[in-house]
Amino acid sequence: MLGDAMTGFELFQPTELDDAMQLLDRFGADAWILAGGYDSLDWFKDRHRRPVAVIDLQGVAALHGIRSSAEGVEIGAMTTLAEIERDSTIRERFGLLADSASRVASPQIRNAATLGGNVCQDTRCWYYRYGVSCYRAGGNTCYAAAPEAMNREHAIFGASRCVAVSPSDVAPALVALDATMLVRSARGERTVPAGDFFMPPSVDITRMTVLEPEDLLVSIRLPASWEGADFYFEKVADRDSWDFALASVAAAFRMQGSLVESARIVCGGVECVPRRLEKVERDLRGQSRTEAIAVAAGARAVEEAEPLGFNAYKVPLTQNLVKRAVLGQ
Amino acid sequence: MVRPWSAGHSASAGQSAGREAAPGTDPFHSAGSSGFDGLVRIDPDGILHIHTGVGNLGTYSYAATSRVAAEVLGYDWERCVIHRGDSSRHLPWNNGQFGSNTSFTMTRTNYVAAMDALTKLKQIAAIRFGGRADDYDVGNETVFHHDISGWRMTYARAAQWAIEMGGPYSGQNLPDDLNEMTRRSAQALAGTGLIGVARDADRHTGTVPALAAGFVEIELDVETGRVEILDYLGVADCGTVLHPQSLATQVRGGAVMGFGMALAERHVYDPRWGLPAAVGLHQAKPPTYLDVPSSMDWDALDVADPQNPVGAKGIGEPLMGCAASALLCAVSDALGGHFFNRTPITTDMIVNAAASRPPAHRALAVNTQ
Repeated sequence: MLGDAMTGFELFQPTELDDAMQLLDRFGADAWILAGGYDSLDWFKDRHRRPVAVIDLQGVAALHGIRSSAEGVEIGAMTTLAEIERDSTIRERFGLLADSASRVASPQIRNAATLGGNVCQDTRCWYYRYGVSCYRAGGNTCYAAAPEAMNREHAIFGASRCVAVSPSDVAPALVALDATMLVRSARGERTVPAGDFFMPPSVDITRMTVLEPEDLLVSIRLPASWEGADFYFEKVADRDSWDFALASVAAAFRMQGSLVESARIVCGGVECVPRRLEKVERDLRGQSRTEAIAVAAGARAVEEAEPLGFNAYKVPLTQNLVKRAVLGQ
Repeated sequence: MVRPWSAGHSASAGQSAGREAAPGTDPFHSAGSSGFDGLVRIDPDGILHIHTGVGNLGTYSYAATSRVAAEVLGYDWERCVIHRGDSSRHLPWNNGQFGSNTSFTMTRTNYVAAMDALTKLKQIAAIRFGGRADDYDVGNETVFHHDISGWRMTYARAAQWAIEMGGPYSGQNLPDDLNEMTRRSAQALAGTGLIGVARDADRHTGTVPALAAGFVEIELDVETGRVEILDYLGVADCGTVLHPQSLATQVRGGAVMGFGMALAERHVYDPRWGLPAAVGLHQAKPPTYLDVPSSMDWDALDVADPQNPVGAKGIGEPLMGCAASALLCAVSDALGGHFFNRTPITTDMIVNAAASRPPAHRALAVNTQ
């Protein structure tokens, strides 16, 4: 690995969305979209990514900002995590997203890192990031799934050749809030539910989202349907700051009296995509959020877990997080 | 001020959280050396130049140790200049500044160099005015006869006489036992003032013990493995305190490093391929400001070391060790006496232990896991 020595590329800094789209169409797979830079620069400096053209979206005003309406809230993909964390509308209406944004990395990073960049970032599997030729990198093995591998941070669910996990702290919150991703390409615009936006390795092992090279994530829409719900977010990491989740939980509950009318519970850091716990959600409908119900929900959440050599602790950890989410404490 | 910490030991109270206070053991480190050289110069304007090989790791110990020379000669600190940083500044052969050895070692070298200058000041006065060198004393940057009020001269005047007299007084003749590096530095300065230069030849005996104790109070969440450090007190046995503000920073900074050693800093390699997992700071995980209490207490015994002219001795590594061991003890206490027998104790280990699951990590084959 040759560190701290990025190769040359052509830098484009469009100010109009149409110009950015034309550049993406022109360069296709040779283009790299630069948002806050916290994923990109590591790749460049380690020379594992050598784009021909880097398209810096910082100057595209249409991609910034938080727009509120009766239907919900639309957040530009280039809005920083710090802006989301501090925005009064987000805090009041969709506190789950504000809470999850506030737990990303460090205050300095959140000042520059963007919502779009956070959900589109590549996995942090240290083998893959080191530059080995694994399945995800186009090779023919998974180093992290080997019997002696150091896989403390890896997946306990949904492994399919690759055992990497989704690193995004806000992704579980977006899935729990039933967000919609607005994607644009030269062919036009389309919307993708957040729950379908993240790519399982069983479908395409080489990318983390459904985005094609010519696609651009323009904004993320939060529908009013989960506005003001009873939210819970918790992230567990080795450090309180500047660390990726070992496991996290994002949950939203609609209550009718003391009973759960509906719920959405999503775990992060345990699968290659944010793991939505639909069975648990179904179990909770019509139930009160008691200790016994919460414990049962936690147990149900980990029924399909298949831990690796060093990550079995994620089973009780996930169990405990789901229990706490149900209890709301 | 040291608080009565034993009163702060509380048992686990919550369903999912244990709060524990624990003292660290007293990590020991040999914190002093001897046998190096000191070099000072009084220029014809009466300014004291202190040449030191001590660098600056953020503790400013190059200044704290240099003050000894100023105190021996009764100097106003504002009239002292410290020369340090690289050998072009004519530095003596010194111990480097690393961890715990600087304070003891370089207060001794600056002391012997200043004592040499003091002796020469008195000899010059005796030669110029009469009497014996022992009949003279110093004060207000002046050397004067005990009994005869007119027999006195300023340091500036004495330095001018030193240049005129030459020989040992201005560095033309040097002691035989100097290190070659010191000799060349003194030769470069020769003839520019009164030169005080000497080897710290009266070596100390035994080891110089630096000791430290840490006391920490934590809250451990047994469901998530999260350890929150609620309170910390570090106490140093570093002899006479040279610089309270700098020492406070050392006690706290060492504690932060110790916390990292105890709970987060992992150096992991794939055992089959030899690949390093921690190739960046965000993977090595030293604690950040947001991982430690915003305020941490400190204290020092302030008991003079008998083998140092100003009672100083070092402290450094023990401040990390005591914080790490206190934190490890607190985690073990919070888990009902579970011992991991290794560092760091990471989140996964705590979760497994709290859930009574078998550990995934192996016994010290690698740093962790």
